[in-house]
Amino acid sequence: MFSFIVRRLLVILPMVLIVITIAWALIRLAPGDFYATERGLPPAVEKNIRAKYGLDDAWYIQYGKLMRQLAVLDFGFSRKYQEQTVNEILRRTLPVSIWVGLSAYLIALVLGLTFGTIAALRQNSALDYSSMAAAMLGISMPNFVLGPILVLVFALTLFWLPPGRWEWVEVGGIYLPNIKYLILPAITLSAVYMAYIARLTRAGMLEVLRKDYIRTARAKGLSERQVVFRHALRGGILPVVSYTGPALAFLVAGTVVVERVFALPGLGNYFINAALNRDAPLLLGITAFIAIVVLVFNLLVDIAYAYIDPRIRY
Amino acid sequence: MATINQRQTIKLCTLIIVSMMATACASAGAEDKYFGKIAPPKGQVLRYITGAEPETIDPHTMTGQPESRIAAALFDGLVEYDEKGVNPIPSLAQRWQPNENGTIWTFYLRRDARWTDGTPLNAHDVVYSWRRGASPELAATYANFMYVVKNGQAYNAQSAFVRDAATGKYATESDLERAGKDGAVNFTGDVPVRFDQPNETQTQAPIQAAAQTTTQTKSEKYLFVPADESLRAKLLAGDAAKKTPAKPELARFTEGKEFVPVTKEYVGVKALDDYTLQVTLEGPTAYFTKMILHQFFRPVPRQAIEKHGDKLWIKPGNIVSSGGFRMVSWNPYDKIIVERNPFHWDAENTLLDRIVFPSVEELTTAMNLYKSGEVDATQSNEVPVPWRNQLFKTKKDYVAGPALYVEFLAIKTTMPPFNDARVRRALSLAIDRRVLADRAPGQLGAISMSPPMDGYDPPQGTDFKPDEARRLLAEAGFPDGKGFPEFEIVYNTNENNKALYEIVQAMLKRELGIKVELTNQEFRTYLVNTRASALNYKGLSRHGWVADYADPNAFLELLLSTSENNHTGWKDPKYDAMLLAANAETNLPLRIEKLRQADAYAMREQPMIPLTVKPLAWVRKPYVRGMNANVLDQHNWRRVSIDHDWQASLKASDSAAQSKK
Repeated sequence: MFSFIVRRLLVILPMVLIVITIAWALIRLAPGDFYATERGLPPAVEKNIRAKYGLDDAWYIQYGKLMRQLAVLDFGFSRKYQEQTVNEILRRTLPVSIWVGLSAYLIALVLGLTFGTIAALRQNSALDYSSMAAAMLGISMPNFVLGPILVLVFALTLFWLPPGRWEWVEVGGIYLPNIKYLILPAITLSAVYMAYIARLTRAGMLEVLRKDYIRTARAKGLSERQVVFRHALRGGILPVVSYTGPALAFLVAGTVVVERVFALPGLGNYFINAALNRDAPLLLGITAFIAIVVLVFNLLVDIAYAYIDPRIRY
Repeated sequence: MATINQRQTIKLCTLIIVSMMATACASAGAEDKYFGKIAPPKGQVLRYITGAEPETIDPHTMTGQPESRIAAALFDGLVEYDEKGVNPIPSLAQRWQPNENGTIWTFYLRRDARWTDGTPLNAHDVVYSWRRGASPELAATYANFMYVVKNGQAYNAQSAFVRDAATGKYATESDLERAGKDGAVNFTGDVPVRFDQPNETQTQAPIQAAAQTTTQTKSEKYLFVPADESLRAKLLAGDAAKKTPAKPELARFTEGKEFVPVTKEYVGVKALDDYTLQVTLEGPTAYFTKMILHQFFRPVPRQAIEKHGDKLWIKPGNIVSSGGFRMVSWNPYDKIIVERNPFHWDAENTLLDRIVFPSVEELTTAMNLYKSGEVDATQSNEVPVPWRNQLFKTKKDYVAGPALYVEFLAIKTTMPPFNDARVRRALSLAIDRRVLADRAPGQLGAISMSPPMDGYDPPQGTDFKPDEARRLLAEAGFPDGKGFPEFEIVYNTNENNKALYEIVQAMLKRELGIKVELTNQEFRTYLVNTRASALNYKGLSRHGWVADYADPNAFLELLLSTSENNHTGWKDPKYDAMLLAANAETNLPLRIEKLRQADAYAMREQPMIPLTVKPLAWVRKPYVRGMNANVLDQHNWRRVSIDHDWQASLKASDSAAQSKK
């Protein structure tokens, strides 16, 4: 197990390097510069800007600089948001994205597992069909439709919740999100995941429930409750576990749509703007961060596998 | 400047959301006069959406309108926007005086202006700020605003004077001309004026000093070469990579001479005393006081910048400001809060206690916040296009009216058949601008280079005359559009652009029988392809232009042969001379007449086709006072307030209106 973790950790490093190099090459190849606007610049003004940011340096000098930045995980100042460093932006936006992402995943996990399990246990019943229909709706309804519908109902018609934005509340020195602002984004974001988890759980459970060891457990005279929770669920949720790794990484970094709909100060907004603004330091910084998060989460999932599934040994 | 269009391109299927919302509000609140909940904030607090997250609040390095409004709250200017948001009224400068030909301006500063750290704000701060704006190290995108000031360009471009060590004289452009290939090299320029030496002018009255400098500036234009040795060598020897030819004459002319770098002291800004500022311009610039309304010319605090550096001085805690408001907090991608600045000379007349600027990316989100009563007003263009007609018709809080924002088609005049002015005019005369204008409330058809504005009534430049268009096209050799080569209209990817240019496409087909392709490109790709030095498009490209200051020159200068915003390849010395003469004219009615002539000339040559004068489109709750429709969408924050008695005032004004009837 230990050697497995070490081996995987060693793979992470070159993977991050490759991801960063590709991202760096792409942003260099993308037409246009971060300073360009519809207002044309006189040659001297443009020259000064290029000199200030070293844009005309040879590619290996720029790449070398990037590697040094990667080594210390400090990408310096953003180009668009001139006085903010990339790390500052990450530090500030990450908590928002994590709160929204984790709340959404928690909702998705609880409801998805419940619906999936019930559907599997009552296969082909009305309950099964209706929960799977709801799941199908969740998968097919994109965030940018669900979000505005929720806003329309709860914020603009009932005036119960704010239509967007974010607030921190200080509770004994710790900053917590104001739950009023968290509810709608979290629900919007959770819908797709809940639907997936429900379907994965149902499929996994159906497969496991037909296994011999479940029959054995039943034959031993265990209560249905014990059969389901101690034996079936453990195997049934394996697909959900392997889905969790990338899903969590995506939830933290890929919540762009929800962040835009609700005007949340999260990471996703910066990520997409960095690409559109050709803000190289910010884009590379966030890319590096996401690459590391995805790889680490995948590793964690593999470790979790070993604990959940007695058949897997590294 | 360009942010409006950029933001519109980032929409994620907004249309779907929009149509849903629009139907919802149509059914829900048909009889409501206002859009959404009306709940004034407690106290004198304004919550205003100025746009997305500001890139910075440093007045020198910011480039967008959203930021400029925050800068206007935080930093006082020599002048401030008047009620119309167009003309300058005294602020830091209590009065000002140009010399007789408008090249030297003297500003008399008020003595009670202070920074938020309590130190006095005087003419030396302005000198420091304007030099900083032009400095090559800061590399401000708006640095060319300082090019109107004496040696501003030479300093920004890191140029050097050429000096003859033997005689102590400096090289002028005419010296170089006289020397030619093999003439005598003889420098005739006097020692250039430095603006940091008070000795010569200290004892004289400012006007006299001005006159003295004028004679000198008139005499000669100095020759500038790059101060950097390797760049200079490249210029003289030519650069094969950039296809610039060698300059043997200049090489011979400058050989063995000294090069004196143009430093900040040569930039024409001078503190005659602590409260008198003298600005020497490159030439007469009639619109100078309108230009310095721009945030770029608002003084920045030397003490904070030198302490914290060029980037970090604007952080809350570091920032020192001078405007009607001072920074409370800045939570990026969330909001900026400013409060009334007690140190400001006008603090007792400043009505608001606080302004909150929430940063909001999506237009629909902004509208939701407005509708639910969480914000009180928004910037222009914050209302999504498909909502506008409905809101305009049914709600009283919608603000329309013309803006200094024109939609143009640039023609690549270097490409046949567009090198023929008849073809260009035919295209323009075939477009029915009323149809285009009717697509949004308050939008006008554009018939001239410069839209109408306070004090400028543009000439009847171009319009919808299909018969004349067909005649011109036939004269140019394409009767009924037969044989007209295929060409394209390039636009940056955006739903509104697409809809607009599909109409234009249909009009050209219907009236002239010519076929045009529509090509959409991602914003930054489009910028690269349409830039003046590239013109990498086949036929026409679209451009939206927002004026930085309210003067026709802001539009007319787009067609100067030297302009970086001339996307047409059209270079006409006659037009350049006409515009130059207009801007040198100090008699206002005469100047306007000259501007109109230049405008009319441009429309006869038609390198650009003006389409529409875009409208303002913003919303304002009925309890907000002091924010009015204005062409630059700038507000004097010191005059804005919240009226908690708004229902009573509304009734009073209604009954007053009725009694008049």
